[in-house]
Amino acid sequence: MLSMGLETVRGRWSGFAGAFVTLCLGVALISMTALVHVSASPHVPDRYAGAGVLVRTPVVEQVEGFFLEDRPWSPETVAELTGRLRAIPGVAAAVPDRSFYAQAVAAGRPVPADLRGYGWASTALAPYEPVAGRAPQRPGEVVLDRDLGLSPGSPVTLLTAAGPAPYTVTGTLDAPGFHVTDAEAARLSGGVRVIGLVTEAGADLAQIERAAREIVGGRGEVLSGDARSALEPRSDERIRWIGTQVLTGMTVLAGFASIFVVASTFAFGVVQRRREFGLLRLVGATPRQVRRMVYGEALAVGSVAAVAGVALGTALAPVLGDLLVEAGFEPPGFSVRIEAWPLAASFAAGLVVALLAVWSASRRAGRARPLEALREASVERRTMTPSRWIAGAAFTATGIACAVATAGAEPGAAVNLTLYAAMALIVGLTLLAPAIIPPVVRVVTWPLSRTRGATGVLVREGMLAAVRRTAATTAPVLVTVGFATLVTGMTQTTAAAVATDRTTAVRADAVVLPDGTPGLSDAAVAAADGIALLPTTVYAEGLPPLEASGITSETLTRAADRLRVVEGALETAEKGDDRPAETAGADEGGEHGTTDEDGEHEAVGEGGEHEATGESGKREAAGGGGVIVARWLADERGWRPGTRLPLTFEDGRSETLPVTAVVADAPTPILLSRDTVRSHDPSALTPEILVDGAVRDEVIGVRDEVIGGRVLDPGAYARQARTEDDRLVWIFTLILAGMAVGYTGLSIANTMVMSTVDRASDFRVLRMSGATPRQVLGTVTAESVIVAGLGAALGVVVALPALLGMGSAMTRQIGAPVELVIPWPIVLAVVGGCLVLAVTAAAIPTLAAVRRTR
Amino acid sequence: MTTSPSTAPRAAAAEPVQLWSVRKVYGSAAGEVTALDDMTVSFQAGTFTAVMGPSGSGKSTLLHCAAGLDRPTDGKVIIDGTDLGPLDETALTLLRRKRIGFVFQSFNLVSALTAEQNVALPLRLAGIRPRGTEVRAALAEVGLAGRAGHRPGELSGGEQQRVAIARALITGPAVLFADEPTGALDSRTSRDVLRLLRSLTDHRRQTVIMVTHDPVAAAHADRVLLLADGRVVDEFATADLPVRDAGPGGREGDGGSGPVRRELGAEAIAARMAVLEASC
Repeated sequence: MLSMGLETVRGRWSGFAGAFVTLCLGVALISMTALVHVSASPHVPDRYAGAGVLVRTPVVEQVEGFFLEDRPWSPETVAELTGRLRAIPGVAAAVPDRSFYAQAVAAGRPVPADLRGYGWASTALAPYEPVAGRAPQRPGEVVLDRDLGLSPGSPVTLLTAAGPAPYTVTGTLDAPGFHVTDAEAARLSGGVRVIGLVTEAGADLAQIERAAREIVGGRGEVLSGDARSALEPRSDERIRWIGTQVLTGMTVLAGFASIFVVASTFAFGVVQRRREFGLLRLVGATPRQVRRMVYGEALAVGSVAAVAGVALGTALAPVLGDLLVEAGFEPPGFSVRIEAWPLAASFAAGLVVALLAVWSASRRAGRARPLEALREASVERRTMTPSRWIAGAAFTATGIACAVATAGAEPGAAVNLTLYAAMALIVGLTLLAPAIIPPVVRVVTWPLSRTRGATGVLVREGMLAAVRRTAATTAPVLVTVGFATLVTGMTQTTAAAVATDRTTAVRADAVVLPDGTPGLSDAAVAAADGIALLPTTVYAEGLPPLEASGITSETLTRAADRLRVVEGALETAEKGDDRPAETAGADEGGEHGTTDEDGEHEAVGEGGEHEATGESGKREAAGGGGVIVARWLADERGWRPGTRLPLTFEDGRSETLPVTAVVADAPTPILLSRDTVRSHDPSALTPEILVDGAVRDEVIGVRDEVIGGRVLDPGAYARQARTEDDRLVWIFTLILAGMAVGYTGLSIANTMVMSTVDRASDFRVLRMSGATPRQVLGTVTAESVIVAGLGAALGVVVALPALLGMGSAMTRQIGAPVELVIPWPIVLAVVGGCLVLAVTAAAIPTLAAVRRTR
Repeated sequence: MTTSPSTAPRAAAAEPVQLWSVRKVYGSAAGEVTALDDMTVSFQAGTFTAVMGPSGSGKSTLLHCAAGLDRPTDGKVIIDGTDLGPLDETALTLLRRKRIGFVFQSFNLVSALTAEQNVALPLRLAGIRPRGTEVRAALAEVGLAGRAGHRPGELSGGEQQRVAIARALITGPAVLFADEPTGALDSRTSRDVLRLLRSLTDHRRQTVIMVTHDPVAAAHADRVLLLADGRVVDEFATADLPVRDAGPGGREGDGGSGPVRRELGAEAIAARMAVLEASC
């Protein structure tokens, strides 16, 4: 029977063209992403390529999606390790690697190419060519990238976390980064996480590695050979992780869309070929044989399509790789390697997809009864079975649940959740389509039954009589428009919610954002004279690295109501300030503390949580060396105001600080005083500065002095995609939506062509009854337009509840009304595309059929 | 042929098709239609029987039930000694495949397959590799030796029906059912197809049961069964028909007196039909 399948395919390839194209594209996409995925493995950073053995700090497992740096060694440990490692026989030098933020400024604008500065000694770890010029010897001297076009002896302004500073170029290297003296690097950078060992020529690396391991013990990890690729920058690792998310999404979508389109193609084909299957049954085929024949057809189409797809995928994979690098989903320097096994796997995946897709169609084909071969007109059987109702309802419910869950999810996860929601809704609605569509058609086409001409009646009755056909042709349009609306709407609403969140978060009159820099320097913060958070990372024993922010007491005052104190007190308020309590947990006394005019704060030492009450209240501000902790973290660790936390900072030093407050809504799990952060993390940058109206004009006036920043008014700020992440998410969304729409578009064309070809005899009858070719064409066009319009309307109607649910969930979360944003231009473009596609796909075979009957 | 067998089922070899008290009711409680009403009938091996009757008399239902295409509401159908009642769909299919051949008005050839492939289809479905000689011999027997490689679309109606007959016979069935085999053909082609069926019974002792409304077609049979309202209302041997200028009765092998004899027989059958319809 499998060979029967092959012959059927050969005999009527047109019925399988849609399935073929879909599968071919699906396999091409799967093989492309598989190749890219396999190629995306870390490699040894160039900066360490010259060191045979490297030691790094222990790695703590982090939550999926977090790529914080690991805890650095304390300066004492660094000194001790360096001393002992250098003493290993065969080791010429042990170089603690220090890096910090640095950027050249040319003509008042930061140059975006190089962003890191290093100590000069670290060049010994890299196989760089000798310096042109000489090494830096004094503070204020720098060796920089040859590509910057500066020659030794020329002055250069370097922007660091502190602000711009004048340097003198003493040499150039054919390598990225700014190399200053080691002493200066130590001053500008935080702690040390990597010590590289420069070995003598001919030294036994294995022996050195063993010796190093003995010295380091549990205090670090010794890496050599390919294992050194673990040292790639966390930012690259993060980019690759995002890339993996994109690829996973694309693969899942490609697989799903292929199954969906192929399944609907085969299902439709089986309905059309009921007579043929009945005939086979009549001639003596068992149901099993009929099922196997349909599987045979799928296998025949599937294997040819899979081969074509793998070839196409192999050809296009390098292009996809380049695109991903350009979009920021893969680190620079990424290239695609062609390997055999991902291609074999993609081929197999294509076959599996084809067989999965045909499962339900084959069952239906097997149920064809011999007598069906004898019936002239195929009588519509029951269109909705109980199992179809149940499955349809279950999928729809799952889809809505996913849509609601999107609201509370992390941005990365949210995109995928959105995708799952859309996919579940698609399956659910397609299953329910035969139940939903007839009543809607009846209502929508009611005016047609009142018209004088024949076309209206023909269209209405034709659509109602063939419920399954109408449902089959409406469904892909519904899916296309629904998917586009849902996915783009979700992303845009989330973005709008974030913007609302931002504008309600701070009532600032202007915002300074980085421009061409990864963040703003202290000089920019001072020039703007606004309030700003200073992000860093802190390390507590037994915990993964924690995000923390330095915050000034002024900022704390302004953000007080947003933080929502659960327990403890945020800070000492200004004298006489009767700010009302935010929550029951914020006790009276805590709000009536005093503050030192000079802003110097004493450590809180004694702080039992409620001892901080009363007029003599201590300064619980983070700025005083206290710690404000997010509720989830406090609950998880059992921390309460007064708990003394031993924290290690970015420079590897530790301090024990008291918890002063637990808040419900913190920007980062831990809030510290800005001074504390700055003293431990010299390289930290400020992501944004909020400026008050009083100083706004002045700030805008001094805009040019705020190097690396630009000033935005709140409206522009809200519209501004704050982070690189937002941009990536939007591109990701567009890629996925575009793919999905492409696939379902294929499905529209396919079902339209199939159903129209099937109606050639209807058209003949119409023509014989005196219809002109124009009238036949008119009937078909009108039907297509109604089908497309109906599908589009249903698609939007279906997407709205999910979006509304998500919007209200976000409103609750943010505490401010979230406006539902639907990108109408995109939705309308998709609807228009569907319309054109549907009409064209129906008109062309109609024309051909009408010509034949002439 | 006996319309009222009163004893236990007779030997399968003698009567390959037997229906015992078969009732077939279509539709739900509201609109019930009794297509077969307690019908007991059997068909003798090596005979050609025509089943006639007005529209809705149940003749097609009789054929479908007798051929195992449809299951009766009540009663028993025995084909070649096997009771169809307890068989599941697959077992029924296997029985049909081996023991029953069908020919229909609408030819029902698989359009994607050539004449030869269509004929070989039942064998392939049975997992038997068809021998080319066997298939071509079957085609030659129906007079289509040169058309083996043509697809149904490239054959005339009469040729398609011959392919269908060759396909029906390829497994050597105990009985060949024909449902209006000439309904879609012109009179000339019809006559060729009917002669072919006639010769099958004459030369191969093939049991043939044909449903028709055409007296000319029925005149080719040995016996005629007239149905009305799901019951057998009349049955007679064509040899017993009162025919003017009748030659020697029974089966004729030559084409000399045959056509004339059948033409006259057709008139007599038409007359009986007319009486029947008038009485309804």
